[in-house]
Amino acid sequence: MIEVTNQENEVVLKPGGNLTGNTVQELKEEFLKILADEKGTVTLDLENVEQIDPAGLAVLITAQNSFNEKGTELSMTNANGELLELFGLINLERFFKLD
Amino acid sequence: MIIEDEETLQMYVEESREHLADIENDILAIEECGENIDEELVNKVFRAAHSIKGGAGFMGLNNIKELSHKMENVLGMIRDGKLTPNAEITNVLLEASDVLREMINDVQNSNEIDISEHVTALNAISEGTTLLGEEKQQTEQPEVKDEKLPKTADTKPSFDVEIDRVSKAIQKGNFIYIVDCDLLSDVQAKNKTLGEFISSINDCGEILDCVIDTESLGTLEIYSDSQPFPLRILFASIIEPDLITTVFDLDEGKITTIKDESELSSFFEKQKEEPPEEATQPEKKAAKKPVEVKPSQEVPSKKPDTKPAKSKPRPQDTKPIVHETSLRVHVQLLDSLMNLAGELVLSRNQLLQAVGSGDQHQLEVISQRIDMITSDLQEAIMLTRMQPVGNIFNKFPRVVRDLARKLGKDVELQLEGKDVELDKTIIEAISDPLTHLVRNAVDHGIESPEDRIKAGKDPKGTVILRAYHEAGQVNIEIADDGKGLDPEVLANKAVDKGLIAEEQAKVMSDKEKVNLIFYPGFSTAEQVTDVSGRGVGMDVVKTNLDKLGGEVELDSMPGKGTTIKIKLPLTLTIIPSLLVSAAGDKYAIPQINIEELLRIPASQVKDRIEKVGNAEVVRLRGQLLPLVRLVDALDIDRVYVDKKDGQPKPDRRKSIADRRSKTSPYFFDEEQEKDESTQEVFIERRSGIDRRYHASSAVNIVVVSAGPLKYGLVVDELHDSEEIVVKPLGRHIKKCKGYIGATILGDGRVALILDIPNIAKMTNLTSVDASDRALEVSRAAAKASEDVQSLVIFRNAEDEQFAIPLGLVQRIERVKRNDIEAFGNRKTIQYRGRNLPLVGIEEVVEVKPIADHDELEVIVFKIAGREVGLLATGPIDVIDVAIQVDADTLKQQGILGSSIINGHTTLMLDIYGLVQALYPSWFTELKTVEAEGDKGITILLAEDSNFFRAQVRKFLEDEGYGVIEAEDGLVAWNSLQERIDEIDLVLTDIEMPNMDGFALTEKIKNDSRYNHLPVIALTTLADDESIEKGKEVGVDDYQIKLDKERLLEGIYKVLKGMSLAKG
Repeated sequence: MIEVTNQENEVVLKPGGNLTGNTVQELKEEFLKILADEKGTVTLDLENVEQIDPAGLAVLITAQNSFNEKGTELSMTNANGELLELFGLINLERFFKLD
Repeated sequence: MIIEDEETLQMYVEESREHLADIENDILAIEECGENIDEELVNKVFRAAHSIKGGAGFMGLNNIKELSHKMENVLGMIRDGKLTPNAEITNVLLEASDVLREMINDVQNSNEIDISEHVTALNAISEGTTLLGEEKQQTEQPEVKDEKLPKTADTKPSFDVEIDRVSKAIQKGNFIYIVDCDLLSDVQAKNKTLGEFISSINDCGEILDCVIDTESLGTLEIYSDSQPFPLRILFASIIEPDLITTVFDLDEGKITTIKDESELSSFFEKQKEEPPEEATQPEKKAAKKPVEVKPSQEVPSKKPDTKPAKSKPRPQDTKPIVHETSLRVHVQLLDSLMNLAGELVLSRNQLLQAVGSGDQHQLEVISQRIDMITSDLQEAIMLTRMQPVGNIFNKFPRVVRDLARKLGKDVELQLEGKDVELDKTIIEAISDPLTHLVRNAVDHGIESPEDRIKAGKDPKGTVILRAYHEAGQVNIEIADDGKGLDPEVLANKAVDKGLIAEEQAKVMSDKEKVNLIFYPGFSTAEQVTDVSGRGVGMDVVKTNLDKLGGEVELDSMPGKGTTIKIKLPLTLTIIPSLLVSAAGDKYAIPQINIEELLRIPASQVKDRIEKVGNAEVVRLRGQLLPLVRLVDALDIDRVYVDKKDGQPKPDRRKSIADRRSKTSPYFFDEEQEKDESTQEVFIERRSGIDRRYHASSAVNIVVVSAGPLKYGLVVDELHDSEEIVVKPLGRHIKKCKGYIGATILGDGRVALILDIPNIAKMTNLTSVDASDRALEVSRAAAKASEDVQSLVIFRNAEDEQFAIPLGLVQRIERVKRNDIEAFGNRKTIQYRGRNLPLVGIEEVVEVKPIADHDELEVIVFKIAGREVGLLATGPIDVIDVAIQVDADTLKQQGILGSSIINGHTTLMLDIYGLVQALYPSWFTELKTVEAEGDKGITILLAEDSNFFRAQVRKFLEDEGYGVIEAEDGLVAWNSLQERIDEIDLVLTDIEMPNMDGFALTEKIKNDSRYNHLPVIALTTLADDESIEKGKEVGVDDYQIKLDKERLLEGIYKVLKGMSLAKG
């Protein structure tokens, strides 16, 4: 379940739970939609995300690559400490734009 | 694998190893020759490669065959002059020979090792010879890399981590693993979240680095679930390699283990060499730029497959050189072993027979035989273990060459004494420390060529590695002619780091200062380079050598170079040692640490064992030796054996010299029970024989040395010296620092072998030199405040002690009483063809007659130009004491006075008075000489000791001189100012309060009113140093205080010289 808030030039995506299994697929589709729409900035609100699986990470990485290519800014907010630590351990804290 | 015949394979491996052993140095030598090719040498390497190739073809070892074949090609071209060996070609050849060796060492898996890189490089050389000139520059570039690894993560995951951090992890006992996994198949498929996976790893060790190749994943549009999602982790953990797969829940093939630092560096080296842009290209087609085309794709992914398989069978912590399973033994040696074995069997049969028949005599004969054979056998077997030190030396030319190139230095390595043999285990164990020291010498010792030219040295630095025998030990020296070490810098650093106190640093000699480098926690390099500063400090080198029973010594001349000397025992397994016991247990002390044995008889304990501060010391030939009680060092309760019932009892004495108190609750025996009242106990203690004089109270000291440090180990008993077999300590006591091993004694009991250097450390003994110096300083200080005299102490009758200033004594002889000839009252003895007149003290002085010994001491003096001997009895001793002489109580002719020395009333002998009484005629001549001296001369006498002042005044007044007395320099100075007109000469003591003799002289000589006055210095014993100092300040003459005759003569001469000068 992903909550999508469309604003002027910005989209906020807020997954309702962990980025695992089906949610990942859903997120991927949402990202692809945004990529087609050519929005200025995309924000991923991770408030409800406690866990992430490898497939989820792969989607985040590839999405980041895609947005980088298009010049769209993808940022993530409200990531909990555990997630931040994880990103740190796998050396991705600078690859993602984390708030 | 093809080969079925294990034996043939083994033979092939042995042979190939031999071929490879020299190949490295030969290749280096070829490089050195450059264009002037030494055909013989090239042929040798060529043949080696060829033989390896031949065997490999036969065995089906295709990889080995291919690589050696390629090497052979290149070597063939060099031999034919088609190729000039340069650094680049040499590098490729060396690397290829490395891989070849690796494959030979692990021949079973050799076909799986990736050799394409080397084959390509060798092909490039043999095919594209013309290109080499251009290639060279390109290929050399990777050598000039900075320490930090280049970040190539964009294309291929490689780690971005300080190599240092990784080596630290290794030193802490971690294993280093490189884990390559696919997150989707290895994690997602197992239904794990990322957090679970990462934290499960992180709980078992430390993730040093983690790389996800974000770019290779592509964009979201093209991403599919089936594409790989690789993750590489550099992981440090103490978990053993065979268990690590369970931690990750991964296949073995995905985890690479890095065991030690050399593997680590080679791994990082490989990682660095990977040219990223080539990564995805198909390899091996660009023949024009062959050197660059490296099968980089293969390297990281394939390595994990081969490495774990290869490294597994190898025991841990071993290096290729160590990894020897067979030895070459000379046939002659084998024959002699065979002979000895035969003799042993023979003796055994005889022994069985003798035991059967119960023939005691025969038994003894046989046991002697067996004893002999066993020692011969031992010796012969030891010989088989001896290996030439060249085995490790030979790897250093390569090490030095590579390192020097890397650092941009020009270094020549000279090897000496490669044939010196050492025990196999020692050879193996010194390999690492030596490598470290050699690397240090090149890295820190030798300066860059520019600096060397500036310093006026040959731009080419020299490192000499030398091995030689000395005193039953093998010495290995690593000498460089580099910049040397600055003792001050080292000392300051040690102080900064809190390793030593500032006061300590002040009294240290330069040599001690440079040896600070071996202190734990001390590293000299300002910045740690990846070359020598791998975090392994010199202290680790030292500890490793200490473990072998070796010693390290460092000598350094700033600007000239550094020499490190390692002393090693020949063998470790059987060592001669001394058995001692303490608190009822036996211990062994390696003979190599023992300097001498010292037994202090009970009666001398009190005199010879002293306390300096809290430490007990023993006086040994004028040196103070710190004492360590073995029981204290090992923290065992002290016991002593009660002489009455032979039972050990706890010993609570604080000092060795203390008596055991009978009132002490620990001295509980029948006597105590009988004597209830304290009064009686007191009397008992007083009147009873002092237990200190009982023989069992003698102190046994083993004087041991640990490097420059010497100390005395106090033990209860000394036993035999024995050859013991060293057994390693069990794991549970391995950490006990005081022991290096254990041995089984003849009676089946176990004795621990003491670690002498570590015991010194445990008891906080520091260098004796430093403490000695401190002592000297304090002695000198004491000397300055009191009037210390060197006296010869002797006896006439057993219980009467005499003393005479050492300065008067010419020599001391021992004579037989029977040789003394008497003519009337006169006694003489024939000595060197002349008659030496003898005088006895009792002939003049009212003392007991000389003791009735067969041998007598003759103290020889020179009086009135003649030698005269004084009869005396021993013990004759020389002591430095500050004495107070009582010039009244016991004064008589021939005796100046009395003093108390070491608790004995001692008569100060007046040898002049004595001789004058017996031979008055000798002095008449002298008198006439003296009589010529001007009368009416007044002498200013500065002397702080009442006794000496009175004595000297008496001499002077007897001679008719006027004397003005002064108690010290200052008083003398004042009298001088007041009565300058009267004074003709100054006679001054040197050591005086307020103003000493030197200061007084200086003042006189620098004052125009007084500088005409001659100054004669009086001293107890004229040593060179003070004579020198005296001359500097202007002393005209030196005289010994109680040498009346010469003093008067000296005064006369000075006065005469003065009047001559005037006239």
